[in-house]
Amino acid sequence: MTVEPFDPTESVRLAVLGVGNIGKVHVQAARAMDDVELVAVADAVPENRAYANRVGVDVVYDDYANLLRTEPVDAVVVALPPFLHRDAVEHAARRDCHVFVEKPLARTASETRDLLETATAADVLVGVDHTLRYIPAVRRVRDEYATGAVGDVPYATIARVNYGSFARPPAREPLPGWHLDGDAAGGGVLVELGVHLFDVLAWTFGDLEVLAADMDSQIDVPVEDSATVLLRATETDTRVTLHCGSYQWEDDDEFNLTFRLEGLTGTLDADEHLPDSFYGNAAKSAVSNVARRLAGREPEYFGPTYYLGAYYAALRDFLDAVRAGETPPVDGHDGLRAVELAEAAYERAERPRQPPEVPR
Amino acid sequence: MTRGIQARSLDSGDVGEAVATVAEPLLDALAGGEPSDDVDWVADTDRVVDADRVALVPDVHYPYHPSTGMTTNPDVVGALLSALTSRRPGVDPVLAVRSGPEVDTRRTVGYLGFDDVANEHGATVAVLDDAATTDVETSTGTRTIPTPLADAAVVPVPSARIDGALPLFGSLALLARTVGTDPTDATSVARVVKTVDPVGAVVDATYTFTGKPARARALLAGADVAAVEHALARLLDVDTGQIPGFGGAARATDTGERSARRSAASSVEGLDVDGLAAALPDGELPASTEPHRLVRAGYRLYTRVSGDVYPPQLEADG
Repeated sequence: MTVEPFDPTESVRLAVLGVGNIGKVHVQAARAMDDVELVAVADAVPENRAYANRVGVDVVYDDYANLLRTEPVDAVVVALPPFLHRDAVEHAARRDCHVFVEKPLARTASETRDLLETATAADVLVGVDHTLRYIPAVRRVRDEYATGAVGDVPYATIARVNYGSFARPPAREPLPGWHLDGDAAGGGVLVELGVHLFDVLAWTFGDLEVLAADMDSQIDVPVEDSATVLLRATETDTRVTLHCGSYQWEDDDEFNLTFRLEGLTGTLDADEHLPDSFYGNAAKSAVSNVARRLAGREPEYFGPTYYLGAYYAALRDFLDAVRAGETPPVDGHDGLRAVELAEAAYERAERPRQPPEVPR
Repeated sequence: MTRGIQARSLDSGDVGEAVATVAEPLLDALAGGEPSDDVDWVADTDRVVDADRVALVPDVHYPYHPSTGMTTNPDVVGALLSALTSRRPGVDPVLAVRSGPEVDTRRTVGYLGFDDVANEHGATVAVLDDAATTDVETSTGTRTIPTPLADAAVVPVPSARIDGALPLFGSLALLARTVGTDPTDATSVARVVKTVDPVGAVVDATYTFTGKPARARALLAGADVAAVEHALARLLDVDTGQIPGFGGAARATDTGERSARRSAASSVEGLDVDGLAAALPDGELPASTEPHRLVRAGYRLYTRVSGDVYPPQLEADG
């Protein structure tokens, strides 16, 4: 879909709906963009609105619908819990706002299609924050594969494991609620992390079919905290095992990601491209960014954090597409495909609720 | 009631059998309704414990999986309940629980499976955050404790772990936190222990946490809570002098009592405590994920110099 491009001299007027954990990153990313005017943010949580004020956003709302009725904006970031995505997109579409939506695009394939129909009818562009594509190590493997560097790939593995909304000891922050509410989130880790992995696989190999799936929980939370899926890439006939989990203690300097392609002439492994030391990478990136500043160039935003840079890049790509009036590189159909694959995996799996089992 | 400490390695047999064995003297005493006059703490109260009611106090401070060693294994609590109710069918068991301030206790209890354990064994889950309280008269004044602990024979069932603020989080700290008292405050801890007057303790060391988890496959139990705490300290290589309230709560004025406790602690039956202690990882709790103020200051300086943006994850308030 194409829409009217922006006048190159004008800023994109942007609002961020939802200033939670990732919404804050979008706020900071948007503030760093010269061609973006961060008009306002909305969040129901007073502490999140206070954060926005603290970092320089003067106009804050406790109700995103009210923001959209009041403020003249061209695009919005929807960083609300998934159960609000469709509603937020509907409100934005009524105001002709393009939307950049956190994953999952919506809770179910049906809800996602409704969302996309609304956006299409209003001629607004939809981007989806499938950030994992923008992790440099992932992009490198995908790009090398695309060049034919290892020939055909009969087998691949992809996995992402973290600790979800929990905190490894010593826990300090209150445990959030909606992440573990299947109705609010659309599911468990499969829609929290799995959709990212489906997106990377589809981006790399094309269409996928779910052959088998299994879900489990290590403790008796209402949603799955681990999911394992066997897939086949129909165009390349590649078999893929996918695993996502939100059960592992994680430090801020850890990023537990596996993306490994077993090709006919060799292996492509994202692990070889991840920083050996996040602290070392942070120092190196900081020095590099200072040097870039001295040379009059833009920094690589969030560079020292490694993974937050992907959020900047994803939002930048979306806004560039908005400026050009073109379909975003990660669009609504990508988001729908990831949700459909998650749904197919849920249908393949039957997960009885289990109390914790401690192996002896 | 047997004064010594029973311990058990789970190298063979299931946890139910091991718990029944290791806690047999304690369970027999509870089943027989014996008064709790054989403990080493100074029972600083004249309260009459309802012998038909037994309150087990597991460590449910946060929904950490029991295999991390950070919480009490619900299998152990289930086995204790099973053994207790089979010995005394009319007993009224209670799981007395309180999580830390980061998470609602009901969520933790549900996530860890204690609701299911309680249902299976006819026990009541008493969430102490909002429980009624009872005034207990002690020699030093009136103390207020949650009613589920005031009218029951109380058995703490701690995990075997270190803690951020404490060298170990055993029976004393667990009771203090469960009552709602600061477990690092020695005076408060001693006061709680004297008031609650636990009749025994069972340490779940199926998994331990000493900087890293370890499958220790061990249980410690005894009617002498001081001796059990002492043995746990030995297992985790901690000086009991570092345990807030230990000295104040124990009957330390009597040389004979002290010797008996030491003797009991040094002769744990059924487990090579020192051998197991030597095999456990030697470490500390991970550092807080809260960034140090110098890290924040350094990063802010970097953003000013480079033009980069400040990661919200480094904000002091998250």
